[in-house]
Amino acid sequence: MANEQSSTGNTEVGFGRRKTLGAVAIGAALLIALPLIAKVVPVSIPLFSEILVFGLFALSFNLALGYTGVISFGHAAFFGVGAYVTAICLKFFQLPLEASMLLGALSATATGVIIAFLALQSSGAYQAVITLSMSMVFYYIAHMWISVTGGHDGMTGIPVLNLSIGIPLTGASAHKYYFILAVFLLCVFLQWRIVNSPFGKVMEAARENDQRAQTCGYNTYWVKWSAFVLSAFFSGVAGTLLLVFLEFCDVYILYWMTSGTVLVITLFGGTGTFLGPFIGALVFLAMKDGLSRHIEHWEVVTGFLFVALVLFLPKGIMGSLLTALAPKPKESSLEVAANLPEEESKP
Amino acid sequence: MDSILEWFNLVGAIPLSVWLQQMYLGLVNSSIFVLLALGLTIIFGLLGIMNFAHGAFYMLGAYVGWVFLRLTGSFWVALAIIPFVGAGMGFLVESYLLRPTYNRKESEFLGILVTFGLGFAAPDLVRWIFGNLGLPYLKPLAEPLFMIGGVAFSQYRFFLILITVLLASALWWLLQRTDLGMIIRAGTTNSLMVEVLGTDIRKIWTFTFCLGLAIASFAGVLVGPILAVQPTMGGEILIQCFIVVIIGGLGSFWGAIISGLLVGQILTLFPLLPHCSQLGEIVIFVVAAVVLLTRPRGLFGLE
Repeated sequence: MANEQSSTGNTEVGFGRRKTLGAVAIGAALLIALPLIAKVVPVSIPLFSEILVFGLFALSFNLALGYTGVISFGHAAFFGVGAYVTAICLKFFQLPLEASMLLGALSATATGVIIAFLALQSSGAYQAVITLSMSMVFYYIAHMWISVTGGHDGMTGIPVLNLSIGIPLTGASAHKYYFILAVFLLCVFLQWRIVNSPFGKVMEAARENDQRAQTCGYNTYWVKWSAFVLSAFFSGVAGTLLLVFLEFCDVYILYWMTSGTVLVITLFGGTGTFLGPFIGALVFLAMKDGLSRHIEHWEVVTGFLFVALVLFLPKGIMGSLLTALAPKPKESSLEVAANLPEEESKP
Repeated sequence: MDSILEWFNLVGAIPLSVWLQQMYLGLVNSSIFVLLALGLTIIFGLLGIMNFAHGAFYMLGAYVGWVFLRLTGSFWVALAIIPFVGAGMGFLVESYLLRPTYNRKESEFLGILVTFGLGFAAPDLVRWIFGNLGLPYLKPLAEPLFMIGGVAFSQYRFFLILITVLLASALWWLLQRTDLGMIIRAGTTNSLMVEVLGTDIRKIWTFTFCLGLAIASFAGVLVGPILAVQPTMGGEILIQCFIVVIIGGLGSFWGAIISGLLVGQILTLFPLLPHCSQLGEIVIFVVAAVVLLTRPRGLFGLE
């Protein structure tokens, strides 16, 4: 999970930067060519739009969970605030789409600032419960403020989405897909730069050994805080993309189950790798799409599958795959000692 | 300004008997919170696991209790059987799903994730078997206990409050006055030391988890006659119980009881005020945030 302490230690288990970049390039090319591929092979463009949205959400979530080890059950707040604020700007202030999306993402960041202060006071289970509770405040606000948010029925009547340069983003058009893809790729590029910057290395250092990072002179509190706020910002962007995708705001996206879903997706893919969460979104949503077509109660299957995954593949799909593929590194005696099963001890 | 005065006039116009009845209903809510929060808090104290499936087992308790109610025709029999069913479910979950996570370095996360997966699957499982509609429970002790100013105070609710007090007292006695309770308390402080002293702490963990789930499923049947029994009943109350244990302090017995009372009253009294129907839901979060900012481990939590 978050405290992946494999013998290699770093996030790209046996997978170099260059190979990751190669995989990203191939993946991006496939995603860009998707509307063409869809003409030959029956793949659903809306499904892939959804995968991009939740993939970005999971990648953003992983900035907090995978890179700094902060466990949040409250990311639905950032996702939902992003979507709702964008919708409100569009509907009540008739702002252009780009400005609304920017305001949505910034509001999510502001939400992240508040929740980060409360969440980082503690760790582990406390952190999980605190983030979850704080995010539910936004759910209840959206639920109660019926005149603006539509309450339980969700927010409808959002004007037709148009880019300022005059391109309409409606229905299941390729324009919409490409717009979501463009924002997605931009955000992934930014995140890639962040985690590979010196700051990204400090994030990992704070996760692996907080005390040692502090001894090295880093203020780990602010590192975690910044990572959390960045995570909130990108989650907010994912939320605004969800609005573009759905053209509708469902109050359910602020419910704690959404935070749970992104956690499940991230762990499905694996937190130890940069792209794992996106793979998780791909597999999870494709599975949901396939299962829900045949089985009415797909949540049962997903829930039990998730339990099995946690028990048998705690590194996730991507993490386990890479560990299996990677050449076995020579273990020094020191690393062997570090990998010995730890004596069972409970707080 | 006028509207604020008008609001106060409206509040002032609510008769005392209505306030009293609402506080009585609040005590019922508090009882449920106390029962669930006590289970959550002792499981967390000993096993270090935040049980995200607690609400799911409360909901399953209500459904399985309904099956027993149908089979035997008696609510009391169902109520007596259900703790054993809950403990059985707890035994299965703890032995087969949670135990494999104990040896891992990330045990705290893995335990949370396993219980989260179960909590995710349970409502849909119930929907699959019983359908999406709520289940009807026969109401025992239907007559009112007494009347104040034309407002009825139900006998069944009094029974519910009474049995909660009895259960909480029994739990306190178990934890403070028995050898088993001493081991549980010692294990909460330092489980390794307890093991070194020759006690099989794993059995104590299993027992505690079963105890927590027995109480949760018992609470599920208890609320059957007065609340809607439906697949989502566990998910909503779980969040409020988390708030209760945050305010009270995770792992604290008295914290769970006092903040359970507080949260139950807030949630029940706020809807009585004009224009504040759902404000209570937000107020408890605000209280939790204030408590956390001043005392990060909750009111009664260990520092």
